[in-house]
Amino acid sequence: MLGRLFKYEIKATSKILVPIYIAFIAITAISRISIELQVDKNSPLYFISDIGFLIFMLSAMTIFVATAIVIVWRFYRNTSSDEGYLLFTLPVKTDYIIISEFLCAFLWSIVMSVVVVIGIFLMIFNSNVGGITINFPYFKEFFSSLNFDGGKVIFIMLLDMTISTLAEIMAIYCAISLASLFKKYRLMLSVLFYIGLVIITNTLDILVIRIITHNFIPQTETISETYDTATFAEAWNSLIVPSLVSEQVIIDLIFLITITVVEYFIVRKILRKHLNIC
Amino acid sequence: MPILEIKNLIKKYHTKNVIDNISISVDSGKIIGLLGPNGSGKTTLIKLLAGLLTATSGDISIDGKKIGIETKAIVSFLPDRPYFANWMKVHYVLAFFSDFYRDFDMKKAMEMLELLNIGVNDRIKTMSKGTKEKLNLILVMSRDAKLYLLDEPIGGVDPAARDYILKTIISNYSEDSSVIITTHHIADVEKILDDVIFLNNGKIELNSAVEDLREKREKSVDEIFRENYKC
Repeated sequence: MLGRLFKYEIKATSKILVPIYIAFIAITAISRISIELQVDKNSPLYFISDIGFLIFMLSAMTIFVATAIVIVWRFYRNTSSDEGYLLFTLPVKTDYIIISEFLCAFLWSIVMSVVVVIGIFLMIFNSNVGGITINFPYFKEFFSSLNFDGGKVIFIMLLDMTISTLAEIMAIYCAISLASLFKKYRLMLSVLFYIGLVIITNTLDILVIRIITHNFIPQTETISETYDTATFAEAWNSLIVPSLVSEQVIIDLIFLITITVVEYFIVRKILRKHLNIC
Repeated sequence: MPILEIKNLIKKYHTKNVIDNISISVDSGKIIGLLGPNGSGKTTLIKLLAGLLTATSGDISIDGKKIGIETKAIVSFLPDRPYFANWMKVHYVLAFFSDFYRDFDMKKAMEMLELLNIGVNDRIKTMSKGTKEKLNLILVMSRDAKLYLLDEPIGGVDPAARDYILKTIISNYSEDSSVIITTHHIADVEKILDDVIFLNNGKIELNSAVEDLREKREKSVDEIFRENYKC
């Protein structure tokens, strides 16, 4: 039944998100072409080359916002509107309903990230940024300058991104579920509960890290704005690697998992015992 | 064994008992009218039976089972308003019901859809309110359920559609199952009812066979209802 719920969740969301992602790739490609055209500065069409990057940035922001809205809206509709009648009268466990929505939201977060990475690649590959050509030799040189245990750091980075995304989705679900306990102003209350959860979670996170490590969080240094591989590699080796492979990150991840599990049980309890479809 | 057994059921919202200590027993093969004025607790009771709400206290058993996944598999619920999203198409909701309900009879549903000229590629968004309600009813009645819970199945549709809906209800339930209908259109529905339950302020004020009631009071159920709940 979990697989079937997931299938229908994907069907319902893909109708909105897939066209948006395709449009993003198309807009990115057009933006890159417009930049590459190098229209004469005196031509009235010069602005096309000029705003190509701006269009790309706005499109990337749009797909991020669209994905977030779809994730929020699906859960909200399924737990607070008439569509909940369809879902919560199915002979399936409430856990399956939450997990299927949760996994679907996570999947779209990954797809969105991949689409953005493709977009960035389309925009910068073989282009000249700050006097340096971003191409395969550039990436090869960059990766060969890194003096870290690559597998380990990439694993921690991916784990960090995965858990942070999952925690974010569950916080949204928890806020919507808490708001569903009220009859009115549910959307506004969802936002307020979400802000409250973020404040509480971050405060607890800092406190836990300080108590366990007996330390204050180190200040992050600014990475240089030059684009050569040596500067990037230096920043990676001196700043990113030590901050990733640290006690603090591991505690942070354990804390996030704990909070996500607690929020899951709050959502579960509300949807099982206090479902309030208006 | 009764198909539905409710004992000392209470549902509290804040301090108010919306369902106030009611007990009901329903046998198979009956169509029961759950009647009452607005705010009497009809929809709350139906939602409790459908597993959408949790009782504050008391017991509900459907076919001997406590409310949960097992009862949801044998209860077919029609809410008081259509619950499909506008982007859905008929073939999507058919596949949805077929995937989740083992007792869903696709052939029966297709036949009923054909009779009403509803195409499988029709989108919910393009349907009139009446057509949406008919589609919902077709899906709900195409299940071979033990208990059908129909909340206002004829609310907001024209008289011709009402007749169709009532005909669909009668022709699709079996002797092994029961139907509970809530409605304000008592005159239209009472001809198909076996029993009536009058609910007011969360309490049962009357629970009787329709025939007995008519003989005893020499009035129709509609007239008795109007008399009891005159404003």
